[in-house]
Amino acid sequence: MKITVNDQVLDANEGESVLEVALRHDIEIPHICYHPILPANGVCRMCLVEIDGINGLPASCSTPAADGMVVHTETETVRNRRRENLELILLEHPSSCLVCYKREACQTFRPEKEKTGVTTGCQNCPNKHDCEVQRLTLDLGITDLPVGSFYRNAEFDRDDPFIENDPNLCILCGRCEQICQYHHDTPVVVLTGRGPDARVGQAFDLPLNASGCTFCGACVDLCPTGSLSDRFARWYGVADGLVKTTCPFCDAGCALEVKSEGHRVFSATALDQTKPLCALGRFTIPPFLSSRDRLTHPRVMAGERLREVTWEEAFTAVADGLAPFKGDTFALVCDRSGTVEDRHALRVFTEEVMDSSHYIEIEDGEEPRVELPTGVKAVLLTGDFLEADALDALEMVVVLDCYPSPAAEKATAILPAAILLETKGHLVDENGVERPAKRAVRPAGQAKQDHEIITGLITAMGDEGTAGKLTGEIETRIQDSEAELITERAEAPAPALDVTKIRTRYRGHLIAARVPDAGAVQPVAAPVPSEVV
Amino acid sequence: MFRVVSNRKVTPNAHEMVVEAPEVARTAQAGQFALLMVDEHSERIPYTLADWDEATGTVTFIVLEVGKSTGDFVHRQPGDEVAHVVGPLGMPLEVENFGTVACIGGCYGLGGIVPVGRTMKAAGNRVITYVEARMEGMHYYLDKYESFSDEVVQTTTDGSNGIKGHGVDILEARLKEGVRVDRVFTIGCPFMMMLTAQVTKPHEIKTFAALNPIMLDGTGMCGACRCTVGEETKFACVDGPFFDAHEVDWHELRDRRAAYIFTERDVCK
Amino acid sequence: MDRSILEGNPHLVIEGMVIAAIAIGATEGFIFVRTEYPLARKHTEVALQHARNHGLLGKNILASGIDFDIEIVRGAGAYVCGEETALIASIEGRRGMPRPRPPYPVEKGLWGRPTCINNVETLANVPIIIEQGSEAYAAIGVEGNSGTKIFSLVGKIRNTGLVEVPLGIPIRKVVYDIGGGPLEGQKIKAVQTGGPSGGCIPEELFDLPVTFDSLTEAGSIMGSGGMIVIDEETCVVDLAKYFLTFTQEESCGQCPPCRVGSRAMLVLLDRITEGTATMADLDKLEQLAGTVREASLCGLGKNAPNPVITTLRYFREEYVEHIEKKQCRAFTCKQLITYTIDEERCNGCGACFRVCNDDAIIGEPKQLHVIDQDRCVHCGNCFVVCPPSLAAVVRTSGELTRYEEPVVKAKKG
Ligand SMILES: Cc1cc2nc3c(=O)[nH]c(=O)nc-3n(C[C@H](O)[C@H](O)[C@H](O)COP(=O)(O)OP(=O)(O)OC[C@H]3O[C@@H](n4cnc5c(N)ncnc54)[C@H](O)[C@@H]3O)c2cc1C
Ligand SMILES: Cc1cc2nc3c(=O)[nH]c(=O)nc-3n(C[C@H](O)[C@H](O)[C@H](O)COP(=O)(O)O)c2cc1C
Ligand code: SF4
Ligand code: SF4
Ligand code: SF4
Ligand code: FES
Ligand code: FES
Repeated sequence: MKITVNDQVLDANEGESVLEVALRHDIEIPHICYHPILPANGVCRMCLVEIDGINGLPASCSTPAADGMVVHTETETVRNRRRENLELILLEHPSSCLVCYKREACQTFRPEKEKTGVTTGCQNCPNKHDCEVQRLTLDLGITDLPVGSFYRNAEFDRDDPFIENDPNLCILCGRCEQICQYHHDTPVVVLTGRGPDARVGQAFDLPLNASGCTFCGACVDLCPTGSLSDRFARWYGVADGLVKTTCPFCDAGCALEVKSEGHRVFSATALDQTKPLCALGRFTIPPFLSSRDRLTHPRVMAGERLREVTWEEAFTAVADGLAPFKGDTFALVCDRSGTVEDRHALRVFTEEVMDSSHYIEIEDGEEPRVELPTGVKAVLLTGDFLEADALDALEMVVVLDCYPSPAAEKATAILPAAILLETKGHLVDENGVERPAKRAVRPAGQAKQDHEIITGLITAMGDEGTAGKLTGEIETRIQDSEAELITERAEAPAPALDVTKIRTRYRGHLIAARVPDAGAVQPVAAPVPSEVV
Repeated sequence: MFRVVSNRKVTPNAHEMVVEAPEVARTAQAGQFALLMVDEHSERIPYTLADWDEATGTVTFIVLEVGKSTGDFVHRQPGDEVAHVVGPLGMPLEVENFGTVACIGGCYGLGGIVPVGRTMKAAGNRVITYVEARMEGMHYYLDKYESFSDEVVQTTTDGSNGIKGHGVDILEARLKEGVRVDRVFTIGCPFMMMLTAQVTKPHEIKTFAALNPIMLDGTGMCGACRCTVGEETKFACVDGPFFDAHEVDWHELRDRRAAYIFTERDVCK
Repeated sequence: MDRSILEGNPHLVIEGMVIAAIAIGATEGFIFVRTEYPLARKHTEVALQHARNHGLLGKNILASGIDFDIEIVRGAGAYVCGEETALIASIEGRRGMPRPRPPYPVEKGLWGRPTCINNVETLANVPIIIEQGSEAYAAIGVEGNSGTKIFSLVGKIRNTGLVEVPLGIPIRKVVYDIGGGPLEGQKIKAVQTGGPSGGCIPEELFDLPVTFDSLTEAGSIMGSGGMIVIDEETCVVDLAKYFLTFTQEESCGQCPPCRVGSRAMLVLLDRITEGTATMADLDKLEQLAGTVREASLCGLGKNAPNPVITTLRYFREEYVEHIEKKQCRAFTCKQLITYTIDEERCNGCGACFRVCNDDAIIGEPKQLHVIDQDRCVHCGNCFVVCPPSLAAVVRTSGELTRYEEPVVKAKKG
């Protein structure tokens, strides 16, 4: 098929819209509600064009290309209507910064967005650095609006976990409703109200977690304005780090695009936008990484209390302390959340260095409280796995972990572990295939990855041969890796469709204890309306 | 404890908070501010005194909701209490009959400029007041300005209310028309105060801007509120908050205000 | 019109639908009736049952091998649900929201199947055409617009009600001959056809034949057949505002031209009727009307500006008077009316004083009352309560001043 756009003859494919053909050939037609993975909605009316033989101004996103079609995208009528349409959109949107003629000076003086409670302009909008509405407004050169503002002045909804909804910024493009429907069949976020009262929200104004939301965040990802936003990410600036990696939270193996600024991860989104993520992958990683009580420095018991020491001192202390427990009086307890390499190192340490048969790896889904084999007197724990009385019976406890636990209170030494996106190596997905884990950010404080700590310990125990061999093996393995990300998922991961399947613990710690929102995603009953009519 | 007497939302992101603080109300003078702590553990936040009433023992703040502490404050309802109100702090303005005084306000400065204008009027000045806001529905206190001003102009950046543009544009236009202005006072965001300074400088009109760096103790001890004015280091809490706007290092002020941005973001959740 | 057909002769519609179904091979039919029309629904229900009892609906109709049945769907009352794609969404149990076409319902309609959507009156005509033959039917009306059309004739005329006329009949005939012409002492100014989405056709054009094309040409639409007659007592700006208020509230809210554009137009119309508009606002209004019409997604938005566009086309001078002279010649736009009290007529009864909520009337009992123009909010209460026998409140709008004739009541006894 061939169609003509502005005198250029372009090849078109069956099923493509006029807009898609044009975009594929780098002919820009302004558009907002169109998104490549969604069926055309045709509501924003930005993509209007003239087509010979068709009355009026059809929307190019919802008009299928037909052989011989002659399209004009830049006639005077089209340009005027398009501009006026955007002016109308801006009437409901806080647009002072868009039409301010001191804009450039302001941008030069304060390029960063400024945090605020309620957004009243681009300068304090979470979307400031990457905004389609802003770009269009500047492209079309809008400087004045036809009448006064229709700012909605509605309540800013900040009560839901992870997702914030400021209805005052919404331009009602409908992408959120569409993507939610696309992923979950029945949309949770919908257009409600008519005419001037139209806005985006949940049916009956229920909270998201009483409306069936799985907190996949797809609506946030697609929202072209700052209306729907990620509470954690909203006030970060432009990412200075971008890494594509496997989600480290469960074995679904979703591929993430991770953004960081100044050594802090602030957002993780799905690499394959056609499938949703679960609330852990989408929202929980940044807050879990940076929760206040992370263990960040090696500490060793000195007298009555734990004292901060250097890694060298910590290794020596632990090596000396564990030396008497070689054999089956030693046990190591870990779960499957670490990389393949980390777990390999832990096993080698237990079986080869400590000569113990008690390498205990908790399976996912198991109640993370283990009973130790009889005779065990010393343990190395990578998480919160032991009950208090089990701990009491021990002579030595070494904690290699990320957050405080009852074990950490009884520990002889605490070795801070790098976790999640602070680690690199391989993760195994639900089908047993190895997937790459890339490091997106440096570890918190002085934390190190498990295998680095283990080789440090082995070295301190005087077994430099084993330590060197282990390090060498791991490095080559990562270097020569051919593992690939799941860039196209065949199906949505189970927890993304059913929040009750979301993993609740990491290294034995309740995730919700560190990130309360992660607990709040679980469905709640709809509140009974206070006034019964 | 200090009782909140009223809490009124004046714009989508600002509240007028009236708090009982008789000692502050008794001694306040134009240009001063007070430090407020919502509870025993919260940050100490400076707010310009937007009004006070010795008779009822109350002071008025315009509070822009920006983050954790301001958010906690604006959620206090009448009858609730806040832990501390310390003030008045800072140097009162020098008040005399200068001739014509221009008051340029924006943002929370729409409230902060009121005592300045009122005092200047009482001292016999001709007072002109140009106030800017982002859009319709973000202006307030028109009646107050009218009570002390010889001319009031409201502007909005998007043109949805009053004249499209900034308050200082009106000043610039008046100066071009040949209107004589002897002194300018400006309260608002650093950018807007900087613009004001840029306009008045070629006309050599003494201009004072109320600086709003981060403050801690408010007594000149901690140095948190350090700013550079005319190549000298000043402490906004004791030497200011009003300084000669032509001498202020605006970029430094901007950077220092963003010093704790990581922490500010994290506590917002 | 449609309601009266469903209430009076639903059999006709059912028969039309069966014929249509046979023609296109449909097996399912739906009649979408507003909840607000319970009688229409009830009668249709009964007629459907009768048809089924007689084997005229259901499986194997009259042993012809044809299956077809009809279901009644209750609409939730939103105007936009009359738009075909919204109607489909509504029947499917979704929110009644229009979607862009193509694909048209005939390709992909209800549940994604080809669907033929017609108006009740259209379908009611089908059996007649089949029975009497197309030639007989075409003999009624004019070329290209054959048959009859039912109008709901209302407004400032003597005879109101539903009238069925052959297409092609001049508007004048409908309004003057059937409608009986203007009310006592009035002059007819225009007729609004096609309901709130239609347009206003001035008296000078009343010789136009009532056909789809001529109404469209005149800027209006046939719609489902509303005809609202207005006389010189109606302000066209106010009329346009009235209709636009309705459509903007009924906008489904999806697309900006309709949702925001019609609201922005209302702001400008408000300015005009309140006397605060400039001529630049009039240009803006025209501009916006064009955008709303051309850029909207569905028929509701595309037709919403019609009342404004047509009144601007035929009565532009009235708009200009509002703006430049602050004058509403119909004395409808309250903010443009100044109320004063005629010293000769006022007897100090104090009726106006009591109803003025804004303390704008100064006066003592039995003394002349005066209106303080600075306080007056133009509510017109004083005008309403001033006894007709005195008619002392005088209205001025722009250059026009209106004295009411005092009504002298014949003394009893
Ligand atoms: C003399 C003076 C008078 C002021 N008057 C008013 C007023 O009348 N009304 C009003 O709404 N605001 C006023 N401010 C600004 C107000 O102090 C800040 O908006 C407030 O501190 C924000 O605190 P937060 O915890 O809510 O937000 P945060 O998230 O902590 O901070 C947001 C922004 O406020 C700045 N900030 C944070 N802490 C302080 C602090 N202790 N001192 C100064 N800035 C800080 C940050 O740099 C950042 O730009 C004034 C500031 C000064 C210095
Ligand atoms: C906003 C809007 C409201 C409508 N309301 C009705 C209605 O109430 N009844 C109706 O029959 N058609 C209505 N229509 C037109 C229908 O969508 C459809 O075009 C018509 O019924 C087609 O039938 P016809 O070809 O027989 O006229 C409406 C259209 C729009 C855009
Ligand atoms: S987060 Fe996902 S499930 Fe929840 S509303 Fe958004 S798109 Fe729907
Ligand atoms: S919330 Fe965002 S995605 Fe949804 S309609 Fe509004 S602007 Fe569009
Ligand atoms: S024109 Fe109006 S009613 Fe039609 S889709 Fe757009 S907003 Fe909805
Ligand atoms: S992109 Fe085509 S209508 Fe929105
Ligand atoms: S606030 Fe500490 S010195 Fe000014």
